[in-house]
Amino acid sequence: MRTSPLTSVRWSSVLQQALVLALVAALFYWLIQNASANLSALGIASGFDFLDQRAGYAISFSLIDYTPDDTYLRAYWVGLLNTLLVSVLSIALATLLGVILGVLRVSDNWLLNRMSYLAVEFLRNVPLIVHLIWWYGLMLAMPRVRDAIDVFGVGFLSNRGLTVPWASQGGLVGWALLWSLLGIILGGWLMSRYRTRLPWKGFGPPLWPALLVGAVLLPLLVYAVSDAQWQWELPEAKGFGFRGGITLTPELMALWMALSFYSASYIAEIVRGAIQSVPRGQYEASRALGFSETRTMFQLIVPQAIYPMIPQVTSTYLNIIKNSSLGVVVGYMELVSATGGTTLNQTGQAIECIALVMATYCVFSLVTSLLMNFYNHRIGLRTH
Amino acid sequence: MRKHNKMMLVACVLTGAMSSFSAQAATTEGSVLAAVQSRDMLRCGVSSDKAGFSYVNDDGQWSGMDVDLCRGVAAAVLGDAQKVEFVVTTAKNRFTALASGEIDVLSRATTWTASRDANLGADFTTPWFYDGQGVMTHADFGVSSIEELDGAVFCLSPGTTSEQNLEDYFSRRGLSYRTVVIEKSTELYNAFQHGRCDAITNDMSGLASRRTQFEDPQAFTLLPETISKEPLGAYVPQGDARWRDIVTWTAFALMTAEELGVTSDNAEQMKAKTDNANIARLLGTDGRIGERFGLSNDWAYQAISQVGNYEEIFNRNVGPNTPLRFERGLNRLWNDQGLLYPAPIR
Amino acid sequence: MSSLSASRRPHPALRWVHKQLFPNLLQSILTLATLGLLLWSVPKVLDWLIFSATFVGSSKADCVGGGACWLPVVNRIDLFVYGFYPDTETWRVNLAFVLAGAIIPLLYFKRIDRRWVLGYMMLLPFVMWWLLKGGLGLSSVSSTQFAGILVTVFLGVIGMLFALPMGILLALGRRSKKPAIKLLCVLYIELVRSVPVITLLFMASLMVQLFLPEGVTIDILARVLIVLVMFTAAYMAETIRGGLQGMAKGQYEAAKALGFSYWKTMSVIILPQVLRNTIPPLLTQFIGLFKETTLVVVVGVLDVVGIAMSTTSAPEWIGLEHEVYLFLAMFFFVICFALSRYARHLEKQLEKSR
Repeated sequence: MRTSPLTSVRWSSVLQQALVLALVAALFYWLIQNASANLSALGIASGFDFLDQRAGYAISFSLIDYTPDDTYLRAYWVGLLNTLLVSVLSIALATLLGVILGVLRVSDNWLLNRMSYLAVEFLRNVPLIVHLIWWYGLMLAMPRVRDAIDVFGVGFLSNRGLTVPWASQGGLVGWALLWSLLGIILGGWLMSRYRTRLPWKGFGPPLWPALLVGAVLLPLLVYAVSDAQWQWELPEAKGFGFRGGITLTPELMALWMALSFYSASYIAEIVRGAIQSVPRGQYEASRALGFSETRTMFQLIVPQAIYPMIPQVTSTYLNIIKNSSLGVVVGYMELVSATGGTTLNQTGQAIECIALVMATYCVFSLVTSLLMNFYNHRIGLRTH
Repeated sequence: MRKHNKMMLVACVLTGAMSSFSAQAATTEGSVLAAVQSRDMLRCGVSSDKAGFSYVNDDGQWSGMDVDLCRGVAAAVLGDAQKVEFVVTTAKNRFTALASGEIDVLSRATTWTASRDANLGADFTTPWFYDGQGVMTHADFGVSSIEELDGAVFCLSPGTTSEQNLEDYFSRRGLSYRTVVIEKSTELYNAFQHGRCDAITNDMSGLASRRTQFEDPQAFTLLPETISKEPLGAYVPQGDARWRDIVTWTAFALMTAEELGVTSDNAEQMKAKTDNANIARLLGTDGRIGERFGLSNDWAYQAISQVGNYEEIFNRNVGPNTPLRFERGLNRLWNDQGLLYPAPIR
Repeated sequence: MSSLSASRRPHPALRWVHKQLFPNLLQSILTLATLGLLLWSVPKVLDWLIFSATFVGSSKADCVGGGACWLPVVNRIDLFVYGFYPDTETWRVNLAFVLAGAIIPLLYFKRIDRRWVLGYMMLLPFVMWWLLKGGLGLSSVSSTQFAGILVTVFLGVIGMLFALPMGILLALGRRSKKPAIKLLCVLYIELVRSVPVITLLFMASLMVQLFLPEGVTIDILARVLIVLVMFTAAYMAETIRGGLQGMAKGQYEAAKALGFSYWKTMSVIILPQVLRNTIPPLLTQFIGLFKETTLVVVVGVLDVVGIAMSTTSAPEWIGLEHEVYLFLAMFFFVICFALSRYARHLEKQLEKSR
C-alpha cells in the first residue's frame, strides 16, 4: 500500500491527536473510577439530589428571603447574589478610586503625584488577604450599636455594619438585580444586532445607553406588571440591633473595601498607562489652541485613552469577581462560603459542590467574554 | 512535520508526568499500625490555632492536650514521643484527610457524634476531654440565660457541630437568632470581643480560656447552661480495629496512670519495683498486653514516662498555672466525681 | 546681562516649587491639604512604629511604651522564617533562599549566556527541592516541618519554575494547527483562568484525594503546589502566547527555509527570543503568584500568613494583631515592590536594546 507523503502526514497527525484525546479520556475514566470507588467506600452520596434538601444553616446577609428551612439550592442563589453584590459594589468603588489615583499619577503636582505613587504601590504589593484581615479589624473597631455613628440621618455605622434604607420587601431587590442583569444582556444583544445591520462600520450609535436602558427598564417593566408592593424603609435603633432598612454587614463592608482598594491600584496603573499613551503633542497642541486643562483632559485625552483601556479594565473586573471568593476568610456568605463551604461541609459532597461553584464562575467569565467580543466587534479589533 | 507530531506527543506526556512529579505516592496497604511502624513516624492531624489543645508555642514546638495525646501514641507505638508529624487540618478537610490516609490519627478537639461515625469514614476512639457547648455574651446586656437572647447575633465557626446545636436549641424554643460564621478562630473571637456579635457559642472550655485572655474578662459573662454534650477525642480511619484499640488504650493508659499515681517522674522507679499488680500490668512488667496489640510490652510505660499522666498533661496545657486556667470539672477521674472512667488494663 | 536676569528670576528651586506645587489656586489648596495631613500623621505613625515601640522583652507585659509591641514578631522570628525546620539544618533553608534570590541578578547581566541562565532556572527547583526535602546525602525533612516564609518562598519559586515549561507547552499547544491539541489546551487555559484560586485550592484540599486510588496519598503541601503550578501555567501560557504573536513572521520563514523542524525552530530560534522579551511580564506574574500563595492558609497550610494567624491566637500574644499583620504587609511590600521596580527596569532595558 503506497500513500502519498501528504496523506501519510495527515494520517499520522490525526492518529496522534486521537491518541492524545484517548489518553486524556482514559485519565478521566481512571479518575472517575477511583472517585466512585472512594465515594462508595466512604458512604458519600453522589448526584445533585442534595440541592432539594433542607439547608439548615443561617446566612447573616441575604438579598432574597432565606431561612435555614430553605433548600441548599436557595442557599446557592443567596450565595450567588452575594457574590454579584459585593462584586458590583467593588467594581464601582474601585473604578472611582482607580481613576482618581490614576489621574493623580499623571498630575503635574509633584507632591500629589508622589503620594499617589506611594499609595498605588503599597496597595498593589500587599496580598489581598492581608488587606481583608486589616479592613475586617477596622470594621469591628467601629462603635457599638448604642453609640452608632449617624450617617446623614438615613443610616447608621456601627460594628454591626452600615445600616441603610431598603425596600420594605427585601427579596424584591434581589429580583430587581437579576432582572437588571438580564436587561443588560438583552439590551446589549438587541443593540449589537441592530448595529450589524447598519450599512457602515465603526460609527454606530454607542452601546452603553442600550445597556443602561436595559438595566433600568426591564426591572421597572417587570415591577409594573407584577402586583408587588414597594416602599422605602428607614432604619431605627431597636433592642439588639436595628429595625428596618438593610445592614451591610462588617464582612461585606470589609470585603468591599479590601477588594476596592486593592483593585483600584490596578485600575490606577491602567488609567495612567492609557493617558500616557496619548501623545504629549496632542495635549500641548490643545493647550496652545487655548483649551483649558480640564477641557483638554475630558474632551481630548480621555476619549482617546478609554478604548485601549477597556480590555484591561474588563480583566480587572473579572478578577474582582473571582477575588470576592476571599469572603470565606471573614465569613461573608458568598458563593464559595455558602455552596463551596457550609453546604459542602454538611453534605460531604465535595465534587458536586466545587463543580457547581466552578461552573458558576465559568459562566461569569463566559458572559464577560461574550460582552467583550461585542465590544471588539464594534471597534473593529480582534483579540486573536 | 512528523518529528513535530512525535515531539508534541512527548510534550503532552511530559506535561502529565510533570504534575505527578511532586507526588510522593505512599501506599498504606494493610493496617495503619504497620504503616506507622514502617514509616517510623506517626502522622497526626491537628489544628493550628486552638490554644491549650493544639497550637505552636514561641519555640516553634507544637503543644496542647490534643498534641500530647498524639505524642503519647507515638511513644507507645514507636517508643519515642518525638516521632510525630503534625499535619494542620481545617474543620472542613479533617475527615477527608483521615479517610484518605493522609493522617493516622485525627486529634483536633473533634466531637464524637453518631453521624460522624456513620458517614465520614472515621471511627471514634474514646473521649479525651469532656466539654459542652456554651454561650458567652457581653456583661452589660445583663442577660443571665440563653433564652433571653432572642433575636441576638451569634458568632460561630463553620463545619462544627455548634452550628447545628444552636439551630436545634433555638428552633425548638421558637426563638430567632442570626449568625456570623467565621473560619479562623482568632478572627472569630476578635469579632465577638469587638461587639460584632451579641454572643458567641463554642465549646465551654474554649470560651472560658478565651475569656481569661480578653483585655477585660469582667466585661463578658459565660452563661450557665450548656446547650449540648461535647465529648471530644481522637478519630482513626474506619475499619482498622487494631489501630483503634491502640489509640483508645493509650488514652486509657494515661488516665489509669493518674488513677494509680504513676507519673513521668516515678514511672521508671515503679517499673523497677512495685508491689501493686495493677501498676505492674500497666507498666508491662507483668503480662503481655503490649505484645497482643502488636507493640512492645512497655508501651504504656513509654507513653507515661515521656508524656506524663493525664493530670500532668492537663495541668501543663490548660491547668491553673497556664494562661487558660481551666477547672478539671467533668474531666476529673470517676472516683473524684468526674467522667473519666478508663477501662481497666488487665 | 546674565547676572541681571539671574537676579530678577527666582531661584530654580523656588521656580520648581511654584511650578510643581503651586501653579494655581486649586493645586495650591490640594498641596497644602496634603502637606498638612502628612505633617500631622507622619510623626504620630513613626512614633507608634519605632520610637515608642517595644522590640526587646519576653512577654506582653514588657510592652509599656505605648507604641507598637513587636515582641510576637521578634521572639518568633525563627518560626516566621523557618517554620518547624530542624534547627541544625536551617543552613539548607538559607542556601535555598540565596539560590532562589540569585536568579534576580542573573537576569540583569546581559553578558552571561542566556542558556546558562535558563539552565540554572530549570535546575533550581530540583536543587531547592533536594535541599529542603533532603535525600541523597542530606537528612530527610518532612513537609509537615515546613511553615512560614519558607513555605511562601517554596511555593512561589518552585511553583513558578515548574509552571514555566508547562506554560510554554500550553502556549505552543494553543497555537498548534492540530484541532484536538488546540482544543484541549484552550479548554484547559480558559477553564483554569475563569475560576478563583480558592476553588482550586479547595479542590486540592478536599477533592484530589477522592480521585486517587485507595491508599495513595499526596501530602497537602505537594497538592497545593500542583494546584498553584496548574494555575500559574494557564496564566503564563497567555503571556508567552503574547510573546509568540509578537515574533516577526520572517523568523519562522527563515527557519523553514533552513530546513529546521518545528521543535528546532522553536527551541533554537523562537523561544529564546520570546523568553527574553517576556521576562518583565513573567516577573510581574511571579509577584502575583507570590501574593496568591497566601491563600493556601485557607486550606490549612501554614505559610507566613498562617504563622501570623497562629501567633495572634497564641495565649501569650493575643490582642497584637495590628503589629503582626503590619509586619506581614511590610514583608510583602518590600519584596514585591523591589521586584516590580526591577521588572520595570528590565523592561526599559529591553526597549532600549530594540
